[in-house]
Amino acid sequence: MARIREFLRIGEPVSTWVRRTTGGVALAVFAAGLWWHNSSLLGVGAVVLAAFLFLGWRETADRPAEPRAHSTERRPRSRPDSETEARPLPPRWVGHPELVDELPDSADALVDEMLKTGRYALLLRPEMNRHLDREHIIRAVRHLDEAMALVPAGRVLLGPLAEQASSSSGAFDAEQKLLERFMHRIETLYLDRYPVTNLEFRQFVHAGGYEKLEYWDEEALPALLDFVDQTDQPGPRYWVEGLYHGGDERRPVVGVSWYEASAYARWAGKRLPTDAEWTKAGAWPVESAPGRIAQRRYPWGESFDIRRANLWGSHRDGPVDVDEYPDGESVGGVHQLVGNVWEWSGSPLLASAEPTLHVPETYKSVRGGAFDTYFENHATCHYQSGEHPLARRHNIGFRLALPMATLEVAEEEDAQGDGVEESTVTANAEEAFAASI
Amino acid sequence: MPSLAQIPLESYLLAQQAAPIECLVCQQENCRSATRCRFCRAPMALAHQAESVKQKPRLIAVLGASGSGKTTYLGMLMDILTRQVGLPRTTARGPLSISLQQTTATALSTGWFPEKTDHDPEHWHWVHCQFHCRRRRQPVEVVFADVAGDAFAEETEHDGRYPAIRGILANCAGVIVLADAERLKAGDHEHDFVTLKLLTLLGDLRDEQLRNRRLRTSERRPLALVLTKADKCDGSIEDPREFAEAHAATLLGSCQTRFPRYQVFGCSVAGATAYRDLYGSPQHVPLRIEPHGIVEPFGWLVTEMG
Repeated sequence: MARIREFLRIGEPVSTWVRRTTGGVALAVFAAGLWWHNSSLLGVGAVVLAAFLFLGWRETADRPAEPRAHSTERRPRSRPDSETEARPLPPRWVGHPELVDELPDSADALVDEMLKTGRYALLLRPEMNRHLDREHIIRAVRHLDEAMALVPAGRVLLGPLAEQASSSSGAFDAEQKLLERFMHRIETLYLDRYPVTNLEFRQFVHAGGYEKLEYWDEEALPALLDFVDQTDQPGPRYWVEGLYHGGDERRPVVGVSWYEASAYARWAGKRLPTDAEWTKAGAWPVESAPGRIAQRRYPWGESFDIRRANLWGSHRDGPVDVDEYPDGESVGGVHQLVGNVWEWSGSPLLASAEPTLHVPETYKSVRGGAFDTYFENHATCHYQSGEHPLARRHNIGFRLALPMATLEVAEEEDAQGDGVEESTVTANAEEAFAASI
Repeated sequence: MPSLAQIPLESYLLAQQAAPIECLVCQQENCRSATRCRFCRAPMALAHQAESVKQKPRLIAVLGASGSGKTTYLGMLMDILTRQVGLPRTTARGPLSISLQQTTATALSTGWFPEKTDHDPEHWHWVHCQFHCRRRRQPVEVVFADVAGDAFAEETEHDGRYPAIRGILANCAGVIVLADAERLKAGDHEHDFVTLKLLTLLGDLRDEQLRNRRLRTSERRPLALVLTKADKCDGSIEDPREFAEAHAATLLGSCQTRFPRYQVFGCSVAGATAYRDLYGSPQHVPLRIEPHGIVEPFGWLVTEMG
């Protein structure tokens, strides 16, 4: 019997057509024996057919029960924890069987996965981090500190007054009415040290970010099918076949609309910075007395220096890696706020534009100048340009912000929390993760 | 009692003043002390500078309807070529040649487009510069003018109103035709007719010169068709020829027929535009300056001029 099993390769994956052919031949031999009244053919056919049916039944009985959809195509994952195996998938992954293979199977794996894809901000949300242990949170906070810089709370001048505040020697006094209009107060936040890179954005594309409608603004949904690359694959405009050009992994992602930037932000658990937040990080205002404020024109100081930023005069003919021009960092340690690529802001252009300027209400603010910005005075911390939110330009990228308020809640709750069993952590974390987005 | 003074009679100076000098544009004789040509009103400084250099400057005709972006294009071109560290680059000759660059760069950097060029030929900007490029060992002396688009339109309607335009068209060694890609894409071809008339005039003047045996060869002058404001029209920078075939078939056909050596280019200066109130009326203004495709047409033209 063992030899027959071995010969017929039963127990190993056998293709359906081999089984059917063998059964068919056995049936044909049996039928021929009946037709010609040949006992030899009848006997051989009956034996082979009986053996085939018996062994086929044995094989079916030996195979573990598996969902039909994945029984033959996917290799089952080895899961040490039987409890984890039995746990239902978070609802958002059920509809995406291609992601099931990548489903983390423990709290460690989940945290690793989230940190690897740059989604540490989600781990630090209160609804998520209450289910994680201290070590996981510390790892997430370390990632946060490495990737983002702290921007302290305070007031910042925007609009036409901001440029006066920087060009005046020392500090700037303005009329109270004007100050009320253009002075903004921001709360403490974290801002990405570098613009989002192609490599980082690829994680979003790879995770099916363009297919998951929950990341997208409602008004962007009709345009979602137009957000494709050169080969009609979902992704930034200048990518090919869903992938950036070789060697561009550390370059800022460009060719993305404001909506794509927003969707990425939601996926990463952050948001686009407002004009005031962006300017605060670069101009680093100092308010010596109420209403008396001095702001930097460039992140490094008052005068332009072509060695610190990638503008037209640098003759680089395109965006460079995000960690180039280290001397151009701001006081708080934010790089390339000026030059390389314009950055989408979360604010509408009209919110802080000069009153005489007429632009469509939908226009979003872009800041910082790009590699092809011709005039240095168009790439200051205060200069503001705008673009239609659906535009996917070759020189507009983005960086993200994370309000400190979110983390403060997390810290408080973490302080009250204590050790929780790993299996419970994983279950809750996955559910919280699914719910948090 | 009046005292006598000895004044040396420098007769050679008188003789020099008496010798006429030919205007570089219309080639009419003028008094050496004249600041502007008495026929076409072109600055005589161009002729004086031309005398001081060994190589005779080549005249380039820059044609286009009103609002096609001639001033912005030429001003930006000069500013880029002057700022350029490597090649190609230009060296302006005389303070006169820097005015166009100054006007344009000042306006753009402060968030405005340069003002519309005046009808009056005395207010047109003229540029004489030395152009250095990789493909030519010797630099080339070139002269061009930023002529008002409305003056082009008037000249095509009333012969001889602007002798400078006729002089440029008759004596140019290369032609740059500017067309507003945004208007073309919107199906507005009204402005094409001015350019078509100018191309016809160019051909007629060439035929006249052939008849008078001032020229012996047929049309060999290169023509660069430049689609301006290409930032607002997807594809007009990446594939300007295809854009021209789709949206400016008549203009392209006319260029092909009359100028066997032609090339289509796309260019843009502003990355985005908006409107700003100026004394109650909205003015079109740039939101940021990102020049693309500015030098290529000029570089190709000068190289092709031979």
